[in-house]
Amino acid sequence: MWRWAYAVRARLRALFGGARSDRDLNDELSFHVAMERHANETCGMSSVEAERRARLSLDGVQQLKERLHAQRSLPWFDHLRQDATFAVRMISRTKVVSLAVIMTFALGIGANTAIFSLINSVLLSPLPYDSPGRIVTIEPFWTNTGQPNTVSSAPDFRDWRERNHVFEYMAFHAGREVRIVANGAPIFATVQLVTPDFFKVFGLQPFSGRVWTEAEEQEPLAVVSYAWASGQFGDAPAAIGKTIEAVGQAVEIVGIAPPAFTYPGSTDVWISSALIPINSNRGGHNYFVVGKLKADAAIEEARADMRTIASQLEQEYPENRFKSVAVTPMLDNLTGRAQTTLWLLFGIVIGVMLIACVNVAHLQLARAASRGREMAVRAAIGGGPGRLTRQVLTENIVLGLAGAMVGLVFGWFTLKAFLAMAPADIPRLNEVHIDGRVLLFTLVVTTLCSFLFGVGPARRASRSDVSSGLRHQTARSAVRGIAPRVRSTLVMVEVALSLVLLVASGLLLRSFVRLSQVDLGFTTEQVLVTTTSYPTGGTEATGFYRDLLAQLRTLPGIRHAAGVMTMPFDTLRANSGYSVDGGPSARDGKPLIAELQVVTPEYFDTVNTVLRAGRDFDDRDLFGQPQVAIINERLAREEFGSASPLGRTIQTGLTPDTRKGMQIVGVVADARQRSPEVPPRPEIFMPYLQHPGPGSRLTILTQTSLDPGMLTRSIRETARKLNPGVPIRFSTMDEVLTKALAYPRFRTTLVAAFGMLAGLLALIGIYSVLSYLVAEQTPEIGVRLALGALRRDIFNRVIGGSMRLVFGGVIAGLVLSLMAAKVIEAVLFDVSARDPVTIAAVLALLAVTALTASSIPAWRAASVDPLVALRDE
Amino acid sequence: MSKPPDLMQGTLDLLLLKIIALAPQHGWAISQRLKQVSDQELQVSDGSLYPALHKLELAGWITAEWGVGELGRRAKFYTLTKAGRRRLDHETEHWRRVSSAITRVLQLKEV
Repeated sequence: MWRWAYAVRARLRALFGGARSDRDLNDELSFHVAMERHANETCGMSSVEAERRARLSLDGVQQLKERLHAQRSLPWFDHLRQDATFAVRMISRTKVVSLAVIMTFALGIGANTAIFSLINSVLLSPLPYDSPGRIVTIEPFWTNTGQPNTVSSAPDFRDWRERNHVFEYMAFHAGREVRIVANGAPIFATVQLVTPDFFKVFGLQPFSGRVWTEAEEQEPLAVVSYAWASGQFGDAPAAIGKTIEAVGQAVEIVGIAPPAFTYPGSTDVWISSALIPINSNRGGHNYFVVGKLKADAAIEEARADMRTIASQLEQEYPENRFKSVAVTPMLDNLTGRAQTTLWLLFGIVIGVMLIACVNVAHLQLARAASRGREMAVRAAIGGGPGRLTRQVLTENIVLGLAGAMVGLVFGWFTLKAFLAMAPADIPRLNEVHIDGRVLLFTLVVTTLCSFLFGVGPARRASRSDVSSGLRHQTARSAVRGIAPRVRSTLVMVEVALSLVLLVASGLLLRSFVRLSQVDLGFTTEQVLVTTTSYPTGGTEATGFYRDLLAQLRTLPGIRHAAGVMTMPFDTLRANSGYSVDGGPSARDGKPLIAELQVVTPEYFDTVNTVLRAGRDFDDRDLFGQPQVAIINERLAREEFGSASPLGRTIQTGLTPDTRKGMQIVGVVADARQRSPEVPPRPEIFMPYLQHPGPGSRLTILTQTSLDPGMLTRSIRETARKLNPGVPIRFSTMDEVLTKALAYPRFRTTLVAAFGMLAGLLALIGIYSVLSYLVAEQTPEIGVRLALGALRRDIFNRVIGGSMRLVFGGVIAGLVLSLMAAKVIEAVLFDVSARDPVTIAAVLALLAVTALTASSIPAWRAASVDPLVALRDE
Repeated sequence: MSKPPDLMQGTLDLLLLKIIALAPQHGWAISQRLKQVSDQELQVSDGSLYPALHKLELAGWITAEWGVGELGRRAKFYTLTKAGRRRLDHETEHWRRVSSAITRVLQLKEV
């Protein structure tokens, strides 16, 4: 195989040796001539004759040199090099047009690179775990309502794990942010309780230390995340052997997870689920189940197997009626929500890229026209059409690559900006980066666009008529009338595309405005949120909260103070079936489900939720006293119609006590607890002192007449005096709302920004085409003016022509928008995808801008001096 | 002087490989050697010699090094590569078979 090495070396020398390769050729031949001459002289020839004969022996030194040169080089490569050199010279000569082309490309490519990086890292790259394709989530769903449940019950999990034939490992995890004590200080950390096979599902190799084994399930051992360990102990491995307090026990750290592993979400500490009592109620859904398929098991097999097990369980346990199981690849499960948004954005940036390409094509057409003479000369001295096309295409690709480089820089900055403003609930953002696949994507897009949108102008340029091209004096008139139809089509395509993108941005903007203005049923202003976590549960905790709230209410500046179990917009919410007065727990075959909430007295006052009837809870609603509940209006309407619900009894499944029934003492206004986008559901509120279990984990809300930030010190001091072991963290209700709106805001901002960009590019396109058309028609306009045409008519004619193009584009754009309605409908809130207001606004915007863009060239046309115009001809 | 017979296609390559196999040498020496050993029977124009040499070089059968030649001038010396050696053996074998076949045909008695 060495032969190839020699061959390649010789080739490379020939191609890139440049001057050296030429000199070598010279030396070799002149050595031959010298030797030959020397030999001839030795034979007695005169030196002149010797030299002549020597040269003749080579059949002409110069000719041989040419022949050898041609033989040594690859002709197409030489041409390419020539073309590229010439392209660079051409580009630097027409700086303005070239810069415009490069920047236009760069904008399109920057947008595409940024969004594709997101898609590549979030949706396309496999998860950073061992055999990620085999990792799945296992979630129950209700066959009668079709609702997924995300969490499973522990007995179901055990049965699934024992009966299945398809999983190598199956594990569950459950956890949230709780109080732990590390380095002697109480802090918040995200703690996950996991079963022994959890780490095996992910094939986790600890960064340092080890993970606990199945035999150690009962031992107080922990694995911690790399980031948390380095944050707490300075150096991650230093955490090994340290003891932390979690779930009320001293737990020893035995392992550090690798830096990339924080599943689920951004977990800090993993401990064995056996350390706290498991909810062994088949109806109590608390645990997220994950599994790793056997290497030879397909996902369909797993689904069939799990469905079979679920229907067995349905037979065996009445609680499992209507409960089936869904098996989903983990990647799909994680990215499900982000998919719609990211693909929508991708569609939009592709639209931007198309518009950019159309603009580049315009610019190239204009350039081709102005180069008619040059092309004619090249054709006259023997440049074939193929060679000329290639020359222009090479220029395009050089421009495209330059644009791509600038675009990559743009894209990098855009990506940074996205990541800075992206909501935390887009998964895998920490993995986002520009990798080889992104670069390849950029290269392919660039080359494809340069080629597809360059080949037309290039062929145009190469096909110019030699004789007329040479005959005409001015470069411009040489190619008069090049492709007016092509250019008109390009304008229409551009208008159509930008209309679609602008309609999309308009709809999202409008939808976001609606969403920000939606009546939540509670207010977020002037409310400080104090997150706490009491070391133990039960009445000790509720006692702490009772004392804390009582003292807070006496602080100056605090109007109301209250506690709540589940914060608004929290994703982990309790819900359960319910029934009224011991009646049925289903209606029309569907189970009655209510959101469950545990609150302290004054909660409704604190967040300004209106009490419609009855009373608020008070401190006499104690454990052991008659059970009471407050319901929301929706539940009251659905269950009692116009009758008063006060005094009636409601049963639900929060605790064994709530199952016995609670007397309804009040009705409050509906509130959007789940998310600003989700309408209120039936909801049952229960007083915290009657439910010391769930009532022991409260978030404290305080309504204040001051700036909420000013209260933090006094609240912290009050809490510390009561119990120094309770960690405290502050935010405001406004921040909670902002976070809840982060996702739609992100989507809206991006789509709107790209929509604007597309509109701007389209506008530039319209302007440049019209300017060019007018410039082209200047001599004709001169003649018309000389013959007595009115300037006003000339102006109107140009405007009319452009408006016809815009109109054609608008019609096509409207059709496209209606076709795209289905896609965008999924992300709209309270706005129809065919919202006439938005469409009308976009149409007006387009019309005004197109009119402005065309009035400048039209005005220029109307102010042509007939004398100058005619002399030019 | 009658024109020397045209060399068969590929035969020049074989001759050049053989001559270079004898010793690394420069183009002029190769040309002289060719004339010498074939008693001027095989005359290869020097104008065809160099393209043929360069072709062999680009194919990797031979490789070239620069050195100092006679008259103290810079000269390009050609050497056989390993692949060139194999090629030479293979071509030589091929030539033997073809030429003996042709000889056998030519030895057929006319009736």
